[in-house]
Amino acid sequence: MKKYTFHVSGTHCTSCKILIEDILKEQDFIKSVRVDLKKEIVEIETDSDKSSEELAQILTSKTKVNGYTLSIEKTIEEKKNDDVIWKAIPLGLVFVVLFFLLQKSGILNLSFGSTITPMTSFIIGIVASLSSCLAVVGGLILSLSAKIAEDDSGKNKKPLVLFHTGRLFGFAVLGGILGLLGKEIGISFIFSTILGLFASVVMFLLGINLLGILKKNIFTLPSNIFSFFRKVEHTTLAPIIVGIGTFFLPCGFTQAIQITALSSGSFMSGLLIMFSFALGTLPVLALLSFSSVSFAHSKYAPLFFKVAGVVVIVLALFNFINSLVVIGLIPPIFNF
Amino acid sequence: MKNIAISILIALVLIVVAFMIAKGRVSTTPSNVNNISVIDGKQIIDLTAKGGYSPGKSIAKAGIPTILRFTTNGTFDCSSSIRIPSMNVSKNLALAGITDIDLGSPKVGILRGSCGMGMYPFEIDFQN
Repeated sequence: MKKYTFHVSGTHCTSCKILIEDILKEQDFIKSVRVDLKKEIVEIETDSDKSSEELAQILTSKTKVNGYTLSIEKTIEEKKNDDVIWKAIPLGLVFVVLFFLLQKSGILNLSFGSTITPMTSFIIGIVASLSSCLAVVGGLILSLSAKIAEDDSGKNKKPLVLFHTGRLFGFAVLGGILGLLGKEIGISFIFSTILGLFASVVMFLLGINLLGILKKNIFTLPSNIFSFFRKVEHTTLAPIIVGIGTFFLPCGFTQAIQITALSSGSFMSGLLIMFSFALGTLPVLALLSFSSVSFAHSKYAPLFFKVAGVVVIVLALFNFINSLVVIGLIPPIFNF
Repeated sequence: MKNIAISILIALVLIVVAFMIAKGRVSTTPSNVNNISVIDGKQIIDLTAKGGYSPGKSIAKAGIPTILRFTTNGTFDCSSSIRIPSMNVSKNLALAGITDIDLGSPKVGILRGSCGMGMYPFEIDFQN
């Protein structure tokens, strides 16, 4: 029985420890495995006669699919990561500037008249999904998708499917309820602003986490937020609830459509209007979340996570500042 | 090191561009369009809400009963919801038509408002 210690790279989450240990335990020649995420080392006990170089190679071939590399020497991964972040910052900012330019261009200020059919509602949904609302809902989706893709390493798309299903379902049912109520109740302004603030804080934390600039384990998400993500990733209900919750996020288009649903007069018409609106937002939002998963499994994964991190942090700050403006703590700063 | 320098440079340029985009349309001088009218002793300030507010800055008289009147025409973007924090106003406009907000008799000073998400501002300078 011999003991070996390898350096491991590619660990970015607490569940990585369990995953690596599970994979390595499946190998016959390995008697025990212990992963130390803080030191980024893997200790194994084995009865194999192979040299440590060979062992590192064999084990890496098993863990490579999940993105982990074992090596005898601490790899120069960190230096490489540094390079990635210097590419990611300008690239992320390019995306943000393009997004702002799109808003500024005015091409999204279409006219729809005042009678809203499910069809116009669908088109308004498409426009909304490209509008400044994307900074809130899209930013949240990008950060959650990237985080889920990063954590699960597996090709787990279930939470994302559940999220979008929950969103469509929630919009339909809540739209129906608005149509049924039919009075000018409106969604509480304070409620949606607070939810917006909360979303921007979540986005900011996830963004920092995706960037990975702060040393792992020194900065981790606050434990209850962290367990919230665990739930989003691994339970059925949580992603659905987050999807439904997007109904209440601050977005001018959503609010305008909600008012249309209110004045529509019946459950069915309210339902149809809100559902077609959500359906209109689906292509862009789905593209955002599922392409995150694809990127996360490509060779561009490290760059993708960091670019996503930069974009999410900038959008989070943008939303945060706007929330403060709306509350009245600071005068308006942006003008689109 | 070279990468870092290039990166910081590009990042700075982009941030400056972003700020120019964000600040570009702020009309620091009030528009020439006369959007203030007085009807039956009430001052009416007309603003158009669509993809922002126009004019972005108005000058009005302080101390007289004032109504802020928004005209919408198929407005679905953020500008369809009005927020004036200092007067605790948060109101959704009619999708098309006219919506009035009663401002009472405003004091001298600048009244700032924005759309419900904060990125389309407008201001009204109440003067003596």
